[in-house]
Amino acid sequence: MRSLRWGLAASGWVALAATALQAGHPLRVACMTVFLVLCPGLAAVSGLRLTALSTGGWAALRPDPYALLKTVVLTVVLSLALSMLVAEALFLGGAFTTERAVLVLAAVTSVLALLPRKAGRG
Amino acid sequence: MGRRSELTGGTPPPAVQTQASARTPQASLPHSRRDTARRWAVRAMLPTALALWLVSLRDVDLRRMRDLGLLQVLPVSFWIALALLTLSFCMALYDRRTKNVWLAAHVLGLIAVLHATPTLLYATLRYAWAWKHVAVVDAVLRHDGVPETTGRFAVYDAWPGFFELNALFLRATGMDSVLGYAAWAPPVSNALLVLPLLLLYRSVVRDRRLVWGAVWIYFSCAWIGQDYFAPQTFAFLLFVTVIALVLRQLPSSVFPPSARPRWGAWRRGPLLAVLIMEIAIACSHPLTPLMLISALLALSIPRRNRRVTLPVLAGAVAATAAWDATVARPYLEIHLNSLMESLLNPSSNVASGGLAALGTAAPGQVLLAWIDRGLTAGVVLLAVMALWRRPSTRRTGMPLLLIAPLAVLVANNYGGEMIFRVYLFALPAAAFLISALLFERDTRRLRAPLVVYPLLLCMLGGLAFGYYGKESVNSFTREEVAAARYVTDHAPRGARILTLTTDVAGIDMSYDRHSRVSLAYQHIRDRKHLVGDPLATVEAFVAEATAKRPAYIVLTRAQHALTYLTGVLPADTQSRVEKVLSESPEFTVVYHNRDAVVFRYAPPEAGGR
Repeated sequence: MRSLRWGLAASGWVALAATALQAGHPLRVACMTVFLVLCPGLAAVSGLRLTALSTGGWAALRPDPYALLKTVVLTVVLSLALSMLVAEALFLGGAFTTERAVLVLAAVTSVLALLPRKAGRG
Repeated sequence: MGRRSELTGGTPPPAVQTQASARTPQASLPHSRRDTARRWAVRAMLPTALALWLVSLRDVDLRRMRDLGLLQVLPVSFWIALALLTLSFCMALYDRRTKNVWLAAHVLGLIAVLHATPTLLYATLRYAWAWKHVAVVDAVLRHDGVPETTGRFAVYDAWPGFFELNALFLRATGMDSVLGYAAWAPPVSNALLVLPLLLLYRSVVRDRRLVWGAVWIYFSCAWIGQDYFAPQTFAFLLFVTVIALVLRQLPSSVFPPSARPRWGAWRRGPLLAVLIMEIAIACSHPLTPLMLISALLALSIPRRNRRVTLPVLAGAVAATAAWDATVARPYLEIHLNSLMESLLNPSSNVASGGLAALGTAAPGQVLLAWIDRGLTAGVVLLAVMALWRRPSTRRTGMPLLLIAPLAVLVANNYGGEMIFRVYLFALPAAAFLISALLFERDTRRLRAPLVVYPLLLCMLGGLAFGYYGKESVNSFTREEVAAARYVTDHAPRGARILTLTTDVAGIDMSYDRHSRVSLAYQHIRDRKHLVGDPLATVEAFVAEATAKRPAYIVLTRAQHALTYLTGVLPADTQSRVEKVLSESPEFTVVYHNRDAVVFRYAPPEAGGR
């Protein structure tokens, strides 16, 4: 569980570093796609204690197909929603740049991933 | 309560086992020869069907499409593959030992066959509206936001979320255009939708047969095609997810209530997640927030649900009101009059919009319209029958979700499309009810597949007519795209672009720099004038052109196909327009290929005519 949290916390910063690659570079496309479609949502699922993932990690989801399904749905949908809201806020404020958008998303993802968890509240 | 326990009442898994084992002794034999044979048949049929489908797509001659679009050019092997896939799914569904992964493979196979077929066959992006949305993303990239425009693009300035999400993705990856992936939006968005649909159905029933049956029925009846590269597709995904999470919390859910609720029946985390999705819905699409509010209001009717629904309803209302009062306010102020007219004249919203036709619709399209209506009526009828025959479904919240979109029907006609959107938003609930009617366990086991298989085939047949029947308009050749590209590249800022219909792929690129007129969507008086005197009408619409701001008239294959199919203008209108413009010395052919011709009109003297 700890590796998942730290991996998520780092994912946005890796994606931010990938913006230094050439436009359209396959590694940059792969990093960004994975980050924007999965990471903010997975961090939210973990940080907001939306499924058993936050307390028991992937092992806790294995015996419960519904929890696994819920984790996958919320991961994708919340990632897209959060990415959209960040992009929209920056566009509306006239402050949109790629680096700024990814930076904000990386920060949000890190905060959600590293939110402290109290025992027994899952 | 005995009936309820079958469907929703938190029946633990052992009870399900008991019901299953209470069937005929032969069925309960763990590894009977018949069951083994059936399982292997399913394992063989699924890959066979998919292989047959892929082979069937070779050598499809798209230029033969006429009245019924893809229906008349797809080979018999395509339909055999679809029938085989359905048979395999039926057999898999009736075998309680079938694993979820096999059922998922069948549903994904169905989505591939139905929705990847056009993507694999067409040389360019399908559907004119998808091209329009590509143009909006392009404009966002050029302007760092949706440019302020009037007319039919103004709505995107008010609800820009989907376009700005795509702009973020393009900028972040460094890709040039959404055209690289927009063509795959229908299969990908439908595949993504499987997940929240499963979540939705699994929240109210444990029986896997009902859950997968409902998912299959949903995709077999979703004929209106709101799955392309569009804000509605994105917002609908969010909508189904929110509703699934709400149903999970309702007392009728098969799950126990969550521990330590803080806000109504919600813990803080899940409620915050729902709120994020509601805000995303509110700022990405004008209609979906209203559908969400309507659904939540309907779910709030039973008093027992209100601890769950009211906090979510409050969030949806607050998000929608805040967005509409700020960013969307200029658009809503301009359109307030038409909104009020719609509200005060609800009967006009029910009509499925179309223009008064000046020509005759193609015979195939008349048939298609009846089949579409038949499928829709059949879905409603089966859903109502389910409410009568399966009383246990009445406690699930699905009946309320079925009727909830009707409330929005009276509020606005949504450009004549409201009746189709009502169907879209009611379909998840309708599919579940039909699944309960067909697959609930008390159905006599031996007879059921004989009834269910033909019924599923009928649904797919109806969907094929609705979804594939207009493909001669929805598909575009490279030549048509090249003609539009020529115009958008060469037309100077302020130039007017004239077309017969809106079905021109890529003509809206740079929409912020050019003005557009589609003659088929003008006042009936102008359209009658066009039929009577094409040259004079075109001249009237380009009268303000100058040497510096010329006008372009673009005539393409798909526009002719639309006038032929719908009869919105007589089928020979395009050829007559082309003929008179060719003979007029004032119009010059500046681009021509086998599927398109572009005329340029620029008055000889500065200052216009």
